[in-house]
Amino acid sequence: MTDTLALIEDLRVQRPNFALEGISFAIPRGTVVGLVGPNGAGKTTAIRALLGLIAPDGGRVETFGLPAGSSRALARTGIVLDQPTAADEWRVSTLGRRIAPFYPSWSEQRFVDLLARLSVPQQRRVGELSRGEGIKLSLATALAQAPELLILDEPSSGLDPASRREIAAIIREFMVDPSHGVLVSTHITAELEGLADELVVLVGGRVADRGPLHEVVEQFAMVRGAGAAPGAPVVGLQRSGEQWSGLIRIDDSAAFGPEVVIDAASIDDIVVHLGAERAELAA
Amino acid sequence: MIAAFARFDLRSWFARTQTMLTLLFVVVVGIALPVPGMAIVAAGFVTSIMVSAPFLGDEHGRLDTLYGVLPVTRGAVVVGRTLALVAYYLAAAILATAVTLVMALARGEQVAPGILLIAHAAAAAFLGVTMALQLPVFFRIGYSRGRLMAYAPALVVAGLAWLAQATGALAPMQQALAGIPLAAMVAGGIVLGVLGICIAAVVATRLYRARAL
Repeated sequence: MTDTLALIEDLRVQRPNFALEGISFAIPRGTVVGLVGPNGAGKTTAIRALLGLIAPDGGRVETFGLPAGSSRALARTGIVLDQPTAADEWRVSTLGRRIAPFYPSWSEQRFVDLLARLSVPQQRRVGELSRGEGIKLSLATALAQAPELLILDEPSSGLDPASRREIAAIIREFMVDPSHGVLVSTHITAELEGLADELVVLVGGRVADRGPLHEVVEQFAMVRGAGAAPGAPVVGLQRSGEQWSGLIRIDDSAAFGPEVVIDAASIDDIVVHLGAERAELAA
Repeated sequence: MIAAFARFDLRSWFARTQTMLTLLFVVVVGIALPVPGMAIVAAGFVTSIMVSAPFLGDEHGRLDTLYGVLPVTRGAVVVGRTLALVAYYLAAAILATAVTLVMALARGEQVAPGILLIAHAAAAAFLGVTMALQLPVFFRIGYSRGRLMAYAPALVVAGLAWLAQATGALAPMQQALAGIPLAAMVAGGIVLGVLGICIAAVVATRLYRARAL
C-alpha cells in the first residue's frame, strides 16, 4: 500500500486563454488537502487532469500509482463535481441501481442512509433538485462506493451553512480511517480551517504556496495603514482612499513601524493578495 | 464492464418516447407499404437516425463526464454503446420481420424467404456503413457539433437512389444485382454490416480516448 494516494508533478495544461504552468502537489494517505485559489486559478482543471478527464500537455499525474483516469484507480475514488453527473430525468432513488454494477464495493444501504442524512428527496428527479441537493446527492453517491480517495470540486457552492457543516462532518468521519485521503477545492476558504491538513494555493495556473495549513497561514500576516504606500515588501497591495492593506511574509514584519497594524492572515487574505500580486505581474 | 455499460446505456435511452416512436415508424411502414421487406429496410434506416440519440442524451444529462469518472475504460464505453445500438437494431429488425409476416398473412400473400433475407442483408449493410460514419464523429465531437451526421447517411442513400433513377442507372444496377446469387448477396450484406460496426468501434475508441470530457 503506497503512502501517496494521488500525485501531480509538473502538470502542464495549455488552453487558448488559460494555462497550468507546471503545478505539483500530492495527496498522502490520512490527509485532507485543500486546493484554494481565485476563480480561473486552475483548480477545476487540475482536478479534471487528476481524474483523466483531460489529457495534460506535460507532467505526471497518477492516482494509486496508476495513470490518471485508469479504471482501477477510479474504482477506488469518490468524486463530487460541481454538478451531479446524472441525467435530469433519473430519479434519485434509481441512481444507485444504475451505477452500482460499476463499483465492486457499492453499498445501496449506505447510499440510502446518506441520502436520508443529507435530506435529499429520494423520489424527486435529479433535474428537480436544488444545486445544494445535487451536491449532496453526488457526495452520497461518492461515499456509497466505499472509496479510499475522495475528490471534491467546490462542494460548498450553493449550500447553506448548516449543510456545509454537515458535509464537513461527513468528510471528518471519512477521514477516521487513516488510509483515506481527500482533495477538496473551494473558494469558501473558511470551511478549510479545522478540516484541511495541507493547503495548496493556486494562482494564475501556478502553485503560489503549499504546505501544512498552519504553516502556510502562519508564514503570512496582514498589514494595514494609511497614507503613503510602505517601502517594505507587501504582496498584493490594495488601496481604498487613503487606506491601504496588503499581505506580508511574517519575517518582514519588523520592517514596519508602529503606525502600521499587523494582524494574522486568513486563508482568504492569502488567496486574495497572492491573486492580486499575480494580476499585477500579468498586467 | 462492457456488458454492464451496454445495459446501463440501454436503460438510459431505450425506454424514451423518441425510441418508441422510431419503432412505431417501422410498424407503420410494415402496415402501410405493400412491398414485403420494406419494414426491415426501415429498421436499418431508423437505427441510423437513432445512433445520435444516446449522444444527445449524454449532452443533456452531462453523462460524458459521468462516463469519464466511472471505473470503465473508454474502449468499454464505445463497445458497450455499439452493442446497445446493435441491440436496438435487432429489436427493430425482429419487430419489422414480425409485422411483415403478420401483414402478409392478413393480406393472404406469401412472402418469399429470399426477399426477407435480402432485406435483412441490405439493412445490415446500411447499418454497418452508417455506424462506421457516425460513431467516430459522435464519440469525438459529441452530438451538438456532429448532429448533421445523424441524417447524413440516410440523405446520402436517398440522394444516390434519386440520382440513379434520374440518370437511368437504376435498371442496369437492378439487373446486375439480380445476377448475383442470393447467398452471396446475403453474406455480402451481413459481412459489410459486421465489418462496418467493427471499424466504427475501433476508430471511435481511438478518437474517444483523446477527447476531453
